[in-house]
Amino acid sequence: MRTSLCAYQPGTGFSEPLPQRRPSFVLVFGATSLEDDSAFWADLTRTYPDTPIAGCSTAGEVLGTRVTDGGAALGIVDLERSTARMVTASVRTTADSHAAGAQLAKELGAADLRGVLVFSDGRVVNGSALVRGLVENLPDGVVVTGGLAGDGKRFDHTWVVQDGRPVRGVVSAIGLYGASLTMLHGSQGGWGAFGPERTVTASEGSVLYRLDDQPALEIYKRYLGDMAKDLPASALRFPLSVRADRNAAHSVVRTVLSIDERRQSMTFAGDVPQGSLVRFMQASFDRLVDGAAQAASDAMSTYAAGDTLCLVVSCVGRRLVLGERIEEELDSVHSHLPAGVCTLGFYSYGEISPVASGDCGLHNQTMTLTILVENAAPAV
Amino acid sequence: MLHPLFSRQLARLGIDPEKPPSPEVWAKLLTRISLAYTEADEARYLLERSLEMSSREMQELYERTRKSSEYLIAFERDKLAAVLRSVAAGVLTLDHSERIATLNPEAERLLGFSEAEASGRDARELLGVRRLERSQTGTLSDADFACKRGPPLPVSYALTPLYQGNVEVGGVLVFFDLTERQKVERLKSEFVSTVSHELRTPLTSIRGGLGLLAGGVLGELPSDARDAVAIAHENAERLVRLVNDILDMEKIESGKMDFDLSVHDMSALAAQSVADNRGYADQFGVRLLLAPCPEQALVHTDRHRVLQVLTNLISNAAKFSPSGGAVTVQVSAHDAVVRVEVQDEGQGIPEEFQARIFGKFAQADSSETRIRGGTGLGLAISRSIVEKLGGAIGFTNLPQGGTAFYFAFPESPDGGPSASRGAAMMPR
Repeated sequence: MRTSLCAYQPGTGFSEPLPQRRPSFVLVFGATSLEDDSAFWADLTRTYPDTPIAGCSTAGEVLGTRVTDGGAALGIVDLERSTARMVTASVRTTADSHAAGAQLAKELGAADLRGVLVFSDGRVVNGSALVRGLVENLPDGVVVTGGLAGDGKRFDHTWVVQDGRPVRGVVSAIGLYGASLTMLHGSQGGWGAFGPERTVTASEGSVLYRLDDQPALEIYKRYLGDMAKDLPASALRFPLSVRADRNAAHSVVRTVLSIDERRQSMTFAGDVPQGSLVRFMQASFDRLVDGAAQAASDAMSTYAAGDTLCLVVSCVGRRLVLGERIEEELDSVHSHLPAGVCTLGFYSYGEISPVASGDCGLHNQTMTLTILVENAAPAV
Repeated sequence: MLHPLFSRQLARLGIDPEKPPSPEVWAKLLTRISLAYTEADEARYLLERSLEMSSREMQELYERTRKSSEYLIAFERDKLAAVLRSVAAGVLTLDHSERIATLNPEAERLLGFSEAEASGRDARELLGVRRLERSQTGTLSDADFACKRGPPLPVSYALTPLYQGNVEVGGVLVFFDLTERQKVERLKSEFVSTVSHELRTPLTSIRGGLGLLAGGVLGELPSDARDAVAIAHENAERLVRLVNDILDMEKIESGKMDFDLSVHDMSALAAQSVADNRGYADQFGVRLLLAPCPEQALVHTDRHRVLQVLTNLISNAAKFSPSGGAVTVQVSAHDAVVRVEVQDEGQGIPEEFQARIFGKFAQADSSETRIRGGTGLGLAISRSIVEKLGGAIGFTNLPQGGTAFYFAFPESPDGGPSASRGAAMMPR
């Protein structure tokens, strides 16, 4: 596997000439505004006419240990002993999420499928349902990672690359095939729950209405104080820790994607089931940076040297909290990676990765890493 | 030493700390520094805000929890008081040294003491009993509890330990008034006794008449009539035995059985009983044997009642032994105890029946009453007689098969009553 990294900024263009070869696939993570940069997309499709181009809009592009906004981070990937195939599905409403996942899984399924990278619309899709649709229809043991597209702190709309151009309401997936390929992964948060535990007294799927019979939005506004004017972005500072019931030891983290003042509701990136128990979470700089390091350490725990690409999907909520210090979490990731590993990725509205138990799920507020390794000898 | 964030900001803008930057880069640096301050302010604001909000919510929750737990405690206390008020039994709670802590209204009514009068007093002293039987499982004991006014109250009670967590903090004494039940029992006994007496007189005549007929004293009967009269005579005998047993039982229970005590030789009594019952054993094809006895085994007892017990045990042994088998009566005297044992060669006592074998109307299988011709009262009467005479009675299944019933009395070598107690005479 050979990977070339490249940055793009409107006005200054590509940081270096695009490699003139026919790669296995190209990854593009860019600002929402890149949607209107027709010259960029024309350059890309002209250079790589028959190559699958995957990616999505972001809340920040990651290249190495740098985070930028307004442009794009590109990875041109050549697989030497493996193959890649890309498929897409449309998602018009949230209710389509599960079916979209199932469709992608069925189109990609094959005996030598090793892993799937998923890039999804970040505003319409219910990430939990999408992942369920995928996992239920993929052969056992296939690793699924990826993330939901972002839109900076605006939460207005997102795009996903389809047929070499940015399209709204789409989910794309790259299937990676071949015995030489290994997909390692790690996902950690660093957030801690605080304050009282509340019961979800009214919700529908990922839309939350009431906590302990009070409007959820009202509680958020009370906690945010002056910063309530920056909703929904400011709500990312208080993700929810959600557990199914009093006996559940395991909890998931959910972040806000949008709010509806008229219905006093909040839409989250994944399910917030009625009857479940939630607590607000918060994080310190150090805990987030430590969490990122832990994710890298987890992913590298079974690493065997080979051609390596590291895909970073980190949550917009972390970026909001870390602010100017955001690159510290990328530094801490890099300190656990072998020297010279190509790293690219994006800040997202939701991360997809298996958890410790092996089940794949949607995460929020995590640093999620996928380490793609192509070995000379087939992976066991 | 620069702050890591500031060092990073300088590096990102390509600024050498030793050299002043260009005006454009300087402006960018100021913007980034200002942003870092703003972010730090925001983080601090949110931290303070969330601390304040969650503290307020936690305080509200605490207040709510406190109020609801106070309400719940009061509710539970009232419920418990209502249960104790309504329960149709006297309930006393005792501390670990058996001092009374509380009385429920039924206990106050039955005993005549108010809670204020009884509280803090020693329960045994107040109730006029030497000791209170403790039971983990609530097994009932009988006693007479002293009342403030009037005669002692016959009660059935259970004293069970009271635990708080794993610590025993005292006991709960629950008691029931037996006055009414005892009155009913008395009425029932009197009724049975009256009826039995009324039955016995005509029955005695009938038995006598049938005996004369069956014995041929009144002339030879035709063969068919002889059989019928024999059956009628046998059943009349059985009915007389039943009536006599019921009357004995009633006498024992009402405390009206009198004993004629003097010194007797148990060896002689055993020999006489063997002789008396040999004819009965013959009916079952069972040999009745008397093992060698001590020359003299004196006990201070009631001769007639001891013979009644021996007859009961021997007739049972004969009935439950196989035809051709033997029943052995043995008298022994050791350690100042005279013991009489009746061994049979029957099937032994089934385990499930052993606990109630000395109860009234006890038969391992009720159909046996008809087959074996017993009343089911013999062992109950025997036990009562032996215990009232200061002895002990019991049985053991023999390893070689069969059962040995025994009873024992204190030996009375000087011819006077012995001070030995029953428990000391049980087998070791």
